[in-house]
Amino acid sequence: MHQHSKTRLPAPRRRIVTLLLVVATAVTFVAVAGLLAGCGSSKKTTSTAAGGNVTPVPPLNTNGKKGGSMTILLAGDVDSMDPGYAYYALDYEVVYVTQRPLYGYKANSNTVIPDLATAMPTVSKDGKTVTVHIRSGVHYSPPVNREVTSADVKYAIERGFAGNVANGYATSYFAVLQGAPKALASTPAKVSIPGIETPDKTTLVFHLTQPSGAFIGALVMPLTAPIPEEYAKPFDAAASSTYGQHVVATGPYMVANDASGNVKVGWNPGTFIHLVRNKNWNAKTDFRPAYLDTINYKEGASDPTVMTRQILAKSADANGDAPPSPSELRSILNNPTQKKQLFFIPVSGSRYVALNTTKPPFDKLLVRQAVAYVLDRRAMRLTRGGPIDGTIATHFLDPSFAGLGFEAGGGFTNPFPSKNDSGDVAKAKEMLKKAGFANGMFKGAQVTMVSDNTPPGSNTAKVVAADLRKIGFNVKNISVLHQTMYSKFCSVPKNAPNICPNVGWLQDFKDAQTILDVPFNGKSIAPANSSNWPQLNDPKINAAMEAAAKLTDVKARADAWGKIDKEVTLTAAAVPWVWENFPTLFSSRVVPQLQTWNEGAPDVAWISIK
Amino acid sequence: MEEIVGRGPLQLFWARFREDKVALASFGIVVFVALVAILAPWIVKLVAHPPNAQYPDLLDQNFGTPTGPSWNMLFGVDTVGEDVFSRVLYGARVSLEVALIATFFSVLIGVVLGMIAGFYRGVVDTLVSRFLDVMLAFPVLLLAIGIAAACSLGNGCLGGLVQPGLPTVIVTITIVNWTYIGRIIRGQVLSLREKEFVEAAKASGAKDSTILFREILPNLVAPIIVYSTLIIPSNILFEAALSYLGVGINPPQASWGEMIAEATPVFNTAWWFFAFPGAALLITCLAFNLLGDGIRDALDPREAQ
Repeated sequence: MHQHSKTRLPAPRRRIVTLLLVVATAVTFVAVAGLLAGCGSSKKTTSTAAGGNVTPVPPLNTNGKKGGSMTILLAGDVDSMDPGYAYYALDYEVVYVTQRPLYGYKANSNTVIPDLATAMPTVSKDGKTVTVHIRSGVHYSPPVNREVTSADVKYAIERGFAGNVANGYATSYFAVLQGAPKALASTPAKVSIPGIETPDKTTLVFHLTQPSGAFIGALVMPLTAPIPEEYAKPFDAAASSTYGQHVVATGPYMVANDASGNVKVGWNPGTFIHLVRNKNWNAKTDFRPAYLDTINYKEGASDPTVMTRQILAKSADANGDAPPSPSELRSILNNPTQKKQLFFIPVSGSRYVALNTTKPPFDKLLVRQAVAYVLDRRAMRLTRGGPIDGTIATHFLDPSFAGLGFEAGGGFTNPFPSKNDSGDVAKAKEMLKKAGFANGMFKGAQVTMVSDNTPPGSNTAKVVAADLRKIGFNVKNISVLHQTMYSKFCSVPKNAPNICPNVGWLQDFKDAQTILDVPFNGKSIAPANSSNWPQLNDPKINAAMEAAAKLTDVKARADAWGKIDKEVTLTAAAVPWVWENFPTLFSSRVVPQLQTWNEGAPDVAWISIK
Repeated sequence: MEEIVGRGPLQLFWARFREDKVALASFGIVVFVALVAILAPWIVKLVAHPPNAQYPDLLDQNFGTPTGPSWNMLFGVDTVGEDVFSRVLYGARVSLEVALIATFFSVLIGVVLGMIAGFYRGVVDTLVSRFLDVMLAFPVLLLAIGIAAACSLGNGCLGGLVQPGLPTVIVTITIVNWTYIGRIIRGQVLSLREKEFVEAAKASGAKDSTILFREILPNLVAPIIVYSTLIIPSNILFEAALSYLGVGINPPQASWGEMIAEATPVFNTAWWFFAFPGAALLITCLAFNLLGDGIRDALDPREAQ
């Protein structure tokens, strides 16, 4: 009977040791964590200064040192080197230093200036004829070498409409050209647009079916960068154009290539992009100084903390497509020296919460307006890092449009104000009372919401759900991958939930139409891949947009789009909540210069080594 | 001379178990966790805040980072300003609910199929055993993620029978976990059916069901109890893993796994968000494991030798 106590002992003793080990590990862990936190909190006193007090955009680097090389870290890769396809911030970062579209920007500036063109376009009285002259003396990089002509720009625009090039915005802004297809042509196809005339080697005449301010604005897009037809033709004959792998440059830099023009020596997707000087580039024809000799883009920088540390340690010089992690940003902002190398550049466009206007309960204006009142925009912005993330949005035209005349039309209003932007529950209840809900609490079926499944989007969704619960909504949240949120739910009207809290829209170029037209015009509701997430289809707003699109006079255009900004905001079909900033960090060995028009990407045509 | 007293199996078990201090302590912790889970709403009402209430004022207003433990928020707040203390308590509810319900169903399926396979042998055994082998050969986590992902959208799967959230997690864990117990029971039954008392029952003309339930099942009670206690912590961890991967419990419901997942990216600024649910998970699983070990030792002293 007593023998078991003898034999039983070893097992528990073993377990006691295990237990002690585990407890010791746990205690050590918590202690270390506490210590780390202690270090963190000692800095807390200075962190309050960080918010609004960020380094302003640097002056233009007009007297930089020539030569040298810099390294930019990328988490992803460019979509394409083909200027006819490029439609993404990182694509622009490379395209605008290797290609010369008709118009462009200097570093640190959002002002459009002539690039390949010699002057701003001349528009006829009726607004239907636009004339542009291009510079002579601009040559292609090897192996093409010849001079650029106006016919090359015509070819570049035409091929954008071909399905095998598949430009993403040609049909939105260039379809007003006479004889231009309304949709992308079948693959592979050569599109001919009679509305583009080239009377001589340096002149382009665009004939439009109607006046269009957006067309003139869109001449800054990379689609207008010249492409040599005789060289590109064989590549454009493929089912999916391979010109991107054989791209030639007109800008100061080119993607390193071999004798046949293949860029695989300079671009290994997922690994690196290597830019070298374009030896056929003539500085006299360009406004870019191009101080650097080579630029290396190192891809695969997927860990934002490691990426940030590399830049601070000068083993790399800037982040090219992904922001530093919030905790790193916090420590940089607390360091007076490092802070000078960090810039927060506003991204034009806003994040908003889309309310499905096609089905109850958000088919009712008053119910939507109640939501616009109750949302705690300050708490929502905190989920993305607080004030450093951007400015709280109360309408759609972001502050970069301020002072351009939109206010006169009624734009830039905040129809749903609240103290500290943290939501006004009383006002929201008042709206619901007007909508017929007793004591201002919503009563009705559960509402569905489809959100991101990872922070910060998932946290924003949590705040939205909690705010809606304050006024009686029962919210069911389905959290999915960000792409799935768009491709399977919010962009498919048939499956669209009541609420899409994680959507947003960016400008294509500095024009109010690019911010308001696509996401809120009834005609952009499509069965799939729809960008009108609230499915707003208000005949009055649609008509106002059609009319405003035809305006070319700057003041009249600003008036009209300012009014549309107000009207759309008042529908509360979409509730804007932040105009974001993008942080770009430079190493201390370079002079920072930014493409402020392109989310503050490093502008390597202006950066120099200190 | 001491009188020799006959003792029942339960008495024997208790006599051995109470000498195992670690097992006793573990039992205490398990009871404590269970009490905390049951009383969570009242505890929260007394000393904390509702688990889904957000307090954005308690976030750092410049960076949106959470603030740490204080008298107001005992375990600090999370990334949207929710009370970590109340969420840890409510997380205990989810963990225990999942652990107990999923364990019950895994054991039920495992015991039934294991007994049938072991008792009837032949074709039945081959079918059940091969099915078991197939299930065991599956990459378990991938299978679980697949099921959970398929059922965690919209109206669930199987025509709405399996709703997203807790039911999905329970079904997933049951499907994945019954195999272990099924295998063990089959082995036990295979040897038990050859024992003399079963032969005797057969000879006296007992029906199959009588033999299975009256003769064999009572002999399986010990392994069932032991393996149930050992499956519970693995089920708790499984729930945490699924929630960590975003296919488990739906927010805003609190779950330790989901909290740890959200805390990982902000670990260097908010250790409390990671440490408290992590510690809760660690302590609970450890307690169940040690308790299971203790029960096994007490029921079957030979194992320990």
